Amino acid sequence: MRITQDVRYRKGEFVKNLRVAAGALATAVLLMPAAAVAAPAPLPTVEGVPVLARAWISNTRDGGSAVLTVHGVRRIEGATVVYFSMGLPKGAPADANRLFSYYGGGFWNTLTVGNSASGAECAVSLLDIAGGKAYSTLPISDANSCLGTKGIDFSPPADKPNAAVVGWSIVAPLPKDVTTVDVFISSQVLPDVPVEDGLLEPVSQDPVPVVGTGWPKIPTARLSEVVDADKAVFPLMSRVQPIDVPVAEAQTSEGVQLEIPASVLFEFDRSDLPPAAGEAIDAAVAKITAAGTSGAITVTGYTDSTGDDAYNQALSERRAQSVLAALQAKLPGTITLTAEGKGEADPIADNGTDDGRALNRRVTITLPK
Amino acid sequence: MRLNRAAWGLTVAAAAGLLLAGCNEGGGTTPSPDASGTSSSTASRSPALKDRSAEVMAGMTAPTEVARTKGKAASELDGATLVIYSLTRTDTSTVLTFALTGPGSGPRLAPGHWPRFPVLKTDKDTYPPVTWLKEPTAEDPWYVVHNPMMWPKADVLTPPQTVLYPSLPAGTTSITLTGTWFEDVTVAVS
Repeated sequence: MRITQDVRYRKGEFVKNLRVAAGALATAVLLMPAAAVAAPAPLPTVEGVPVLARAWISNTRDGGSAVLTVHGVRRIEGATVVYFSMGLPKGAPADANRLFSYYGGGFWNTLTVGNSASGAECAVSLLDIAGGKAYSTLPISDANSCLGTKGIDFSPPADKPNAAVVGWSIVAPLPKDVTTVDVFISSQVLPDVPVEDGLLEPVSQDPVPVVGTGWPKIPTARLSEVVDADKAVFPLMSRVQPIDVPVAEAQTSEGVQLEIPASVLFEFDRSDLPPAAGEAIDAAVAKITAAGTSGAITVTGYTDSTGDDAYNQALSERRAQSVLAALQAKLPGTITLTAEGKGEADPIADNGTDDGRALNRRVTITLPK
Repeated sequence: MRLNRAAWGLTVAAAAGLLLAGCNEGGGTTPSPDASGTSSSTASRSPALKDRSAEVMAGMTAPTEVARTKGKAASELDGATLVIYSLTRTDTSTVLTFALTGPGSGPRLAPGHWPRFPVLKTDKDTYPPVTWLKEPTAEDPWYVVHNPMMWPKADVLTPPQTVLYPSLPAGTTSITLTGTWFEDVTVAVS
């Protein structure tokens, strides 16, 4: 079963004009009691137009709303093309803002930092949590830009004020074995979108066509302008932390990683394991065994950034070695273990805060893929 | 999602092909206006080219509230209200969709502060938000997959926003949203 963003929209509760009614709407919504979850609205079947996911989006200028639809995540040689459309629902004012960049474009924290690209057309990402990677728009030699519909003006033809028009972005190539992704676009994550092969046809002569009248022509020849394509791929980390056991399980691009806070393993500034650390060690052994692990495991120690680099490096190495020894005593000989210390490198949280430093003081156990 | 979804994807492609082949308006074929020679999974007979906007957007209405909670006293989000529209689970992830109000123009859910973000809590586990490695060499390198579109204002809801979480176990019907910023709230999973 595919569940989409549609789940959060309920028929008959359409708000026509958030801009005009912004204050009253906010007050009214704040007074509403909590409601049960609406039944998911099914994605429509539209002749000749794939509808893979939809979201209700609002713009940052006047609060006006629009419907965003993903029509395709399509593999081509050396890249992935994302087709999407945006249209204003019936009742939107004639002067409603239609610039896509005002509807949640990626100006702050979307996955574009590595290529320094900005703008809505550069703020599309494809997320593969199982593989531990996010694939963003490919940067091109033109500074701060990418390959996508430029300066997208979603103004429909004058005689079709509620028409949805189509845009596109070119994203880093996906591995062949990735068959669905979560699409991050316009401040919305649209889950479980299928990946297919080849460009959509037929092609329209209109660079921003009304949906249903053909698809934008994708300038595949311009892929030769791509620079630093590897910067468009970002590691993702997905954690699950058991409540009763101090060993978190993280899905990363390197595979499954177990994380144990240093505070449950070691006393301050020590690297010998006290008896109290036994529970965490046993929990880690259980997880390693349950995963059917064989082969090589790497145990890595980390510190926060407080103190001397060399001291932190040595402390992290000693702590990793202590955990290795404890694990080795409880795991079968078919598993080989290696210990390494990384000191204060590779922080996972802000070393400027107490909670961030606590997270950075850790030991990880990386299981083989 | 990886290879285990391949069969599903093929099913979708096949279904789309059948639809396109069988529903051609007028019964004829419509040639592509551009013979660029690109590959496609669409059927050999194309449907009539016409505005399909109403069909594509059919059924979409503004999100409605399913739960809400207040910012914790003395926290960075003291005085703010988190209005939750949905918490949607798939086999690959869980997506929280929400809006936020002020106070003032100060607090927001800053993606660089992932340890402070609300976590999803079940009977057995907690689920922090999914993070991405923004800058490996930065002091604060991991960011939440979340894009705050605008600064919250008092009594005005922000546009809908999402935060990405790991996939909850199948069959999970509700969770507790908990953390340092907001009072705990129970949210139904759809």
